[in-house]
Order: sequence, then C-alpha cells, then structure tokens
Amino acid sequence: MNSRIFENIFRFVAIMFLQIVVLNQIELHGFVVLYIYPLFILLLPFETPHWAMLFIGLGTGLMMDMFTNTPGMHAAATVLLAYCRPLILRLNEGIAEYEPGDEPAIASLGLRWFVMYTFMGVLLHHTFFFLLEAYSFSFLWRTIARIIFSTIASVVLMVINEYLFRQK
Amino acid sequence: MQNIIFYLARYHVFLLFLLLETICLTLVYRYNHYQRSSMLSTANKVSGNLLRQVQSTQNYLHLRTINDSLMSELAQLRNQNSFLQQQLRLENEDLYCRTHFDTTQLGLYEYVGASVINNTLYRPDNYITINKGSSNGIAPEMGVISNTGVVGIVKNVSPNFSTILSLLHRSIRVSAKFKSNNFVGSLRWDEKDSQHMLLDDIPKHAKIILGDTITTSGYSSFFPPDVMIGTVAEWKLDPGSNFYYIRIKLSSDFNSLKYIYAIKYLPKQEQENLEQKTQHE
Repeated sequence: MNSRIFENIFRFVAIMFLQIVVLNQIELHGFVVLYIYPLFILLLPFETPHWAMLFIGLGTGLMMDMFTNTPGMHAAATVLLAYCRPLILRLNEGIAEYEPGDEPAIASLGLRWFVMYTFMGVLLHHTFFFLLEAYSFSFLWRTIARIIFSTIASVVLMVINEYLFRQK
Repeated sequence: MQNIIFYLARYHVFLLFLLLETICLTLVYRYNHYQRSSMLSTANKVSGNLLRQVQSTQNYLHLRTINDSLMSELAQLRNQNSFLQQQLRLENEDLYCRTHFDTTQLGLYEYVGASVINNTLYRPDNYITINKGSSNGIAPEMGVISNTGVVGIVKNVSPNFSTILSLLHRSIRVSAKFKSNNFVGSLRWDEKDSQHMLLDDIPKHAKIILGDTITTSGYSSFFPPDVMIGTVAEWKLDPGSNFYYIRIKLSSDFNSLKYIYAIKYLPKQEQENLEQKTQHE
C-alpha cells in the first residue's frame, strides 16, 4: 500500500515536471496545446476514494494554474475530470475486465481500453478547459478545433509516455 | 433532520464536487474581474524561480540572437546619441532654437530594463513574466516596450517578478496613431496570430497607404508618444461603414522577445487626478 502511494507521488512529480518544464514551453501554432498532466488523475489506483480524488484533482489543477496564469481554470477542469472518472471507468467496462489490484495501464488492460479511457477523460477535460478559457462562444469553431486537435495530441502523448516509462 | 443527514451521507461526493467547482470558478471570476490573485500566477516566487531556471538554460541556446539584439540596440543608442549631439550643437550655435525646443517632454519618463522569463503567444490571453518587480521600481499599469516596439502593460508585481499583459491579450486596448497624419485609433488583438493586430476607429476620410507607420499616440499615460507599434499590412473599407478595417503588422516579434523596458511616467498621478476631476465636474 505504502509503495503504491510513493509510486503515485513520484509519478505526480515526474508528470508535472514534464508538463511545466517541457510541454508548457511548446506552442504549436495555437491549435494544439499539449497537456499530459490529466494522465496523473487517470492513472490513480482504482480503489482511490472518490472524495480524495476530487482533492487530488484540485491540487493538481491549482499547481498547473500557478504556472500558466490561469487561476481556477485548470483546477475546475481537473476537478470535473476527477469527479467523472468512475463514470468513464464504468463506460469502458465492456472492453476489459477489471480485477482487484489492477492498475489502469496498457500492460494489464490492453491498448484499446487505454486509448478509449484516456480519450474520454482528456476530451472531457479539454472541452471544459478550452470553453472556460475562451470564456464565450464567439469563437466557437476555433475553440472546437482547439479541443479536438489538442485532445488527439495529448492522448498520443500519453500513450507514448505509457510505452516509454511503464512497460514491465 | 434524519433525512438531511441521509442525503448528506448519500450525496457527499457530489456536494464536495459542487463545492470545489464553485471555489475554482470563483477564482476564475475573481482573477478576470479584480486582477488580484497574483499568488496563483507566474509572479509567484516558487514558479517564478523555476521558470527563471528554465529561461537561463534557454538563454545559452539563444546567445547569438541575444547578441544581435544587443548590437542593434547599441546601434540605435548610437544613432540617438549622435542625433542628440547634433541637437546640442544647434542649441549652442543658435539661441533662437531654444525657444522652439520642446522642453516639456524632458525627464517625464523613466525606463527600467528587464529580461523576459516566460512568454506565451497562442492563448486567447497571453502574458509575459519578467525578472524585475516592485523592488526595482516596477508598478502595475506601467507601459512596457522593447527596442523594436510596444510590448504590453504591467499587470501584477511581486518583489522580484512582474507579469505583463502582452499586446496579444483580448482585453488590451492601446491608443495608436498614424505617424504621417496623426489620425488616432484604438489597437486591439483579434486572436488570429502573434504578428498582427487590428486598428479600430479610423474614420473613412483618413488617407491610408500600405506600409504606413503606426506609433503610440501619447494620449494615455502608459506610453510616451511616437513609440513604434507597426505598419499597415492590410486595409479595407466596407460599404456603409464609417470606419476602416485596418490590420497592423507588429514591429515587435513576440516570438523572440528577450529584453524589455518598463516605462514609468512620472507625473502619471497628476495627470490622472486632473482628468478624473474634470470628468466628475
């Protein structure tokens, strides 16, 4: 149990470091913004209590906000993601069987499950975030393009990250 | 009573979710409307220091371009120097000149140099973070320029860092004019790209040529007059409209922004007090 907590703390530091030091410096012409940090929420152990997940989401989001001058925006999107994670898990139940002690990972649940799961989570997070950032619907098509391209890019990045760092 | 406890127990996660979302959205709202929470911004000490580390590593990679920009800045100062020397000579040679020399502009502005440690370009609202703050004399609402043109307006300051509203920000408006004929308009960003902005409020009887130079008007207390902003890249007059649609190519390249100057307008308080007094009467 303790080793899993330690593992998650380490993952938090690594993902946030990657996000802030590398990805936040990359700007791909506006339409694609790379956010890998929601992966931390998505990879929390299945048995994390729901309320604890909300607080973890809040903390993660606020930390992002601190580095991007967007007080509350990342936090709001991440709390929403944390709240909806059990629902997203249930929606993907058909693809793979969860067993006690499993981790949400390609190694145990398969690539197809992982891609569907992260795609749903990231899409929800990005939709909420980019709408909040745009603050209005005056550039709706532009915002929708941002949501779609960024979601695809972030999911690809998460899968690459998974293969690079978590294959057993 | 029992029912309430029952509902609390059953829906506690949902209620907690609502509470946390409310906190987050309040933060968003407060920041956009009161501009206060500098704690959660890059002016914060922790994030500021980390970003400075990142920037100092990047600086090594950019030494050549930094050199170039310093060289051009030096050249500009030399030009200015020679120009001023000439002015001085004229002054000494001809007493008559003195009566025509505008002394009111002397010593009105003070410049504070700083380097950029964080800069975004492609958000709807872009910010720049610099490595100087209130301990170096920087205060909110000071204008910011680079050696190539206008950059933005200071928003938040902490003792050692400041955040700047970049020109590429939806809520920024800068009073700008045509250098050639002094028509004054309002500059804003249309979120399209980091090279262009729009100039509003130029009436249709103004004469416009592609490539006309746009500078600051000096009407607001943010910027001194005649600071370069950019050149006219595209213009059209819609039938039935009284105002031109004008697209300006910015002279500052926000992609390679490294060094900036914050401008302190010394009699700012005096000017604002006077203007406010006049409006209230």
